[in-house]
Amino acid sequence: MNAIIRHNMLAAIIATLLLTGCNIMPTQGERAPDEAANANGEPARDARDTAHRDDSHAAPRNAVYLARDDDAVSARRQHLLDEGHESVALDRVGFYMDVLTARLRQELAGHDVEMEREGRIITLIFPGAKAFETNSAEIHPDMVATLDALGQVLEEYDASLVTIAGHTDSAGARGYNQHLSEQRALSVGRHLHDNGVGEARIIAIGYGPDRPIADNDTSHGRALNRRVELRVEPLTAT
Amino acid sequence: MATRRDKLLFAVFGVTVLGLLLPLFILGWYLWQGSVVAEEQRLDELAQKLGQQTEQAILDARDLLDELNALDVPPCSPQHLNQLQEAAISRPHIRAVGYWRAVERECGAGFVQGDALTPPQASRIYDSGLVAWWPGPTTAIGGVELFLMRYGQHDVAIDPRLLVNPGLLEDQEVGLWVESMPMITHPSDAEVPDPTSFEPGLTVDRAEQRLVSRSSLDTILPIDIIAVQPMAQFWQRYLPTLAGVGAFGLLLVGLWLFLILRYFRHQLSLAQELRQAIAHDQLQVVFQPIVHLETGACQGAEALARWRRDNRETIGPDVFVPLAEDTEQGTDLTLAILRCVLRELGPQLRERPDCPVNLNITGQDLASTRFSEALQRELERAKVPARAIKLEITERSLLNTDDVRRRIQDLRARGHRIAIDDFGTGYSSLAYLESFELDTLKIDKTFADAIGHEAVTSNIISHIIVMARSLKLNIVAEGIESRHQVEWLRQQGVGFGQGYRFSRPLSAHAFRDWCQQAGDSK
Repeated sequence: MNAIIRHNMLAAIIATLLLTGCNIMPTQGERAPDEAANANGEPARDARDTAHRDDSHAAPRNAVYLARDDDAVSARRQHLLDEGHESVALDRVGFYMDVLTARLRQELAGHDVEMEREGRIITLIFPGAKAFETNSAEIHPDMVATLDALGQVLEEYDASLVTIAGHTDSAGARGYNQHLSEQRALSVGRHLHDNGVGEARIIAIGYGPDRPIADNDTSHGRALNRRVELRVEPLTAT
Repeated sequence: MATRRDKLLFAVFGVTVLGLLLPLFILGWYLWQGSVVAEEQRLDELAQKLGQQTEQAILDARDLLDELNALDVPPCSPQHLNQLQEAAISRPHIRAVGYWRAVERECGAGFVQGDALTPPQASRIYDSGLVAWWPGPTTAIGGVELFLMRYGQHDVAIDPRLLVNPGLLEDQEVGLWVESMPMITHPSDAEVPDPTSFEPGLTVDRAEQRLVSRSSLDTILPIDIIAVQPMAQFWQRYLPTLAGVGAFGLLLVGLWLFLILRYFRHQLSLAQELRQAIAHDQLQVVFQPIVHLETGACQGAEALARWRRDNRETIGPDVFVPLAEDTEQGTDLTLAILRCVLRELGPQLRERPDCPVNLNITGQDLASTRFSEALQRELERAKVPARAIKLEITERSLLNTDDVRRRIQDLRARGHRIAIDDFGTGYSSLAYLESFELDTLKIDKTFADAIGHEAVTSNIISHIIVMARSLKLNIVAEGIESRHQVEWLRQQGVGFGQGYRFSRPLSAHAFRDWCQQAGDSK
């Protein structure tokens, strides 16, 4: 399985290169203001404002559940099962996730998203700089098509739980980062919901700078840390 | 001497057998290699065909899934079902085609139902989104392990047994691996070894008594094919050729050995016959006169042995003298000839000991005292004086040992005179000859032949003559055939001659008459 994932990552990277082409430099340039803004903390209000504006503009989107911590995620999952939400029979889980993985690969081929599969869990990673406007929870226009495609697949595979986690780097005020990560997660959740994914299956959570995947001391590391991770798992009685 | 002969016999035998077996062995090896190469090609072709068939079927299934996904008809509508039905019917190896929503099979065509279509773990999920489940226990329906492929909303279930055309396989066991995962074996219960344990090409697995061929194909998918053939089958296929050529080769060897054996048996029986002939005094002797070149008077004769076998075949001394020497009856032969001479010409020799008969003796005769003693005995019995028997020794058998020199001395002391035969054909030097006590030098026929023709040889004969005269030896020129030769030799001061110019070899009776006609020696 590892080989496949690695293979897939490679494919994703190649796809990224092909899509972005010579835009690699501008992309890096785009990150700088994001970082700088975080550093002085001032544009925090803007970001909050943007998020607020999103909330106010689409009132029903508030329905996407924002989890406070991992325990809350587990509780939500259990709650769904207890309520009799659509679920996968235990002996079909492998098949379900294999087919779902294949569908996601098929639909997301060429899109700027990294995909990993580990056991029953599929993780999609959206890089912050590409998925969102700078210092904003607003979804970048380039990412809309990706999320639409993703939404379509997830709508069909409705026995899955989608946990969207927002992450930031360690630069800037903690509170700001926490809030930005939550709003970005909620943004993605709402977009998926708009594409027909049942709200009950969507959980948003913001981790702020707490779960870095790369070194925050380098700009490259910080760019990697600014991301949204989308975790798809089967809803099944464990 | 017998051991020398045996050794020779063994050597000839060995070399012959080796010389025949080696090509036979090489031929066998070559044939074996040829058979193996032919088999390798055969199996490889077969494997390539199988691999291509499988690859085609997989690609075809993929294209089919693409087509079905691209259909613009409402799912599970009659048109859609029609398409699915058609796809299944037109491909015998496809057992089922289905339309799915997530993990629910909404509709489809074909006979397959049940959990086999939803195995718990995919073999491959390709980047394109194609999922493949290789045949295995989790894809089995009614004992048939299916090969499943899903792409988008559609899937196909393939019966891998129908991917393999049994017509190609004959009696072989074949296994096919796709991406190092077992796909098909034929027959389905065959235990085909894993491809990783064999080198590409043909392996002769002696431990398992089988030929294993591994071929690989990697145009679109990496495919390995292992074909296993019991040795017995291989033999069955190639034995007629191998056996045919082998038998032919053995026949040749046999024939050759037979001929050799026959030759040796002939030689051995000839030796045996010669022994009989010697023991029973069945050899004949003829006499070729030696004449005085000035006067033409008879000066003596050389005794020449003849052997007429029972079947009237006459064998020359060039054959039976070496044969006698090789079989240690050289001295017996000499004595038999001596007895013959004494029997036929005894009275004349008693009367005219100054017209002696030359008896050829061999190196063997001089090697021991046996000949010398027997000679003395025979002469005493026949009352013939020793000087009536002149002994001819070939230049080459004249060994330079003290024993030989002493024996020649003794024989001479008894009254025999000694002649060196075939002089000029060996390599004796003047000094060498001087060390023996000799009386006469017989110049080989080749020198007489050269007289008046070849300047160089003629030159040599002049030297020989000068040398012989300086040693105070009588000279007899052999093989004189023309008057011209007689003249030339006489001018050179050669005293005696022998040859057809004077007389061919004569019987004892004819010799006596000839002597009287030619006039007595002085």
